[in-house]
Amino acid sequence: MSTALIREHGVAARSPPLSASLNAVLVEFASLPGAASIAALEGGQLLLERMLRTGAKWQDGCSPSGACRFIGTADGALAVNLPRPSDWELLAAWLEFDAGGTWSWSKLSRVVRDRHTQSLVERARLLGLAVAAPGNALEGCVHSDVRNSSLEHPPTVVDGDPLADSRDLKPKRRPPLVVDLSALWAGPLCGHLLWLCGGRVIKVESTERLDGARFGNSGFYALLNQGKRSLALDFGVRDECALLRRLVEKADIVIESSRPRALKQLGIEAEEWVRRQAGRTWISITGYGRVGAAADWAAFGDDAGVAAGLADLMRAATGAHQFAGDAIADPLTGVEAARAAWLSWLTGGSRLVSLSLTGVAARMLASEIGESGSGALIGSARRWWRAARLGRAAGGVDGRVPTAAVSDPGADRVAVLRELGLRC
Amino acid sequence: MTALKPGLRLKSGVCSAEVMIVKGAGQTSITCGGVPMLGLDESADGAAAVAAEMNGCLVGKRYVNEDQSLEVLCIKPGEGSLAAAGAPLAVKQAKKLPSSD
Repeated sequence: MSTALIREHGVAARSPPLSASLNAVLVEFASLPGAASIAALEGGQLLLERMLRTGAKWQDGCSPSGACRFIGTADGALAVNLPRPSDWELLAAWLEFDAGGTWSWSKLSRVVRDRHTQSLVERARLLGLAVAAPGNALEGCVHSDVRNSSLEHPPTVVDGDPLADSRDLKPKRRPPLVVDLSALWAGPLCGHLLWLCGGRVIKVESTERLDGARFGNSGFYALLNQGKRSLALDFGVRDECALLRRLVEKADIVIESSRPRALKQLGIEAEEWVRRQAGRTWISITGYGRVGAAADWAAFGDDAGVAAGLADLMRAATGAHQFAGDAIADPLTGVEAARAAWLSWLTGGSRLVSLSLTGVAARMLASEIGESGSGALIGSARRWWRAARLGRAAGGVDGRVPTAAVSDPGADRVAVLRELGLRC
Repeated sequence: MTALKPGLRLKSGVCSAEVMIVKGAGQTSITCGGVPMLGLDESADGAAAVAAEMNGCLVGKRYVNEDQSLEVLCIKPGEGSLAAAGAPLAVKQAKKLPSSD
């Protein structure tokens, strides 16, 4: 992303943090052959799209979804994200503390305040809990955990030629077949943007574990999943698992947002898939990258934004740790992933592209600090937060409206398998 | 016999597996590959694995006993199977995804 683009497409004073960076990515994306429909999108709109639907409000120290909160520790603070009911069952093991029944945020705060941040983070990671400690991003010290997880140049091409934009790209004669194995926000947004560019998108879910977003705000789900055909497979059954592998073989682009080990357990290995046949692109969305121990760390959009340094910006702007958006790393990563996928498709594929939620958000923050200077960024975050607290966070942005139908789980099985020549 | 306590970490005496107790109280014997699991600072006494109990455990999966009074999370994978009080532990059903994050 060029800094000139950020300047040129800079946004109004009350736009949410990083909307200028996101606009710059959208402009680059829209300039690619076949991607003209992306030009209608606006960064601030995509960042706040879910809130526009749910009507959630900004609160001190709490994410708009209500699932992630800042808690003080003995030596700092921690963003603790507990969106799954099963996360609460792990708290006793995390803290080695029997709460005598049910946990609440206030009980959790009382236990955590005597503990040290680093050991809390390490134990949480063992348990798969999504927690993150704010750092000193404004002094250029992003936490080494984030730096190590592909901060340098996300999207990182793990396997294949570097992704380079060139001015003489030719449009493709056919649309790509996209198999979208992802869930929640970043991955489905990526699939949605490829659908807007004409991609044929098949959404694949596990019957045992459908996309959790189906049970959230239905209008928001419809927005991100409209026009995708749906397949629901029981990954626990051998034949269904084999069908998943054959389906993935047919794809030009695969999008997934699991930890690498999860697909390996189903017999699907991204590295091998990319090498086996030329021209295909694998989009891997993770919390902290695919390398080493960090490949197993869980993250969701809110805590990833904190790990990336956005809470440091908000503290400088407001005097306290705040969330700089609604699961902010999700929409940032979804857009960046779609641009990378489309560019890879246009330039011959054969790539495994890794995007970590934390890496994408950290890089966008670093480029805005580099462009505007931290002083200007803090001032603009302060003005935005004041307006946001008064309920004007969207700054007059209108939500988008879905224009195509949404498939029920598994509704398109027969049609899709017939079309792809796969017997069920 | 091990005194169970949420958060306690145990390692296998016969493979690379490691678990953390998520739920449980009282005393019981937790085995991996048929051999009692050890505290992190204990060393294996060389007991041989039971071949029939070497079907593996998967990292990130939660394992429970029959009445679900005991629950452990596998935090490092291994070749041994987990059991408690002589009965095998079974994989708990997949965690539901959140409806929003």
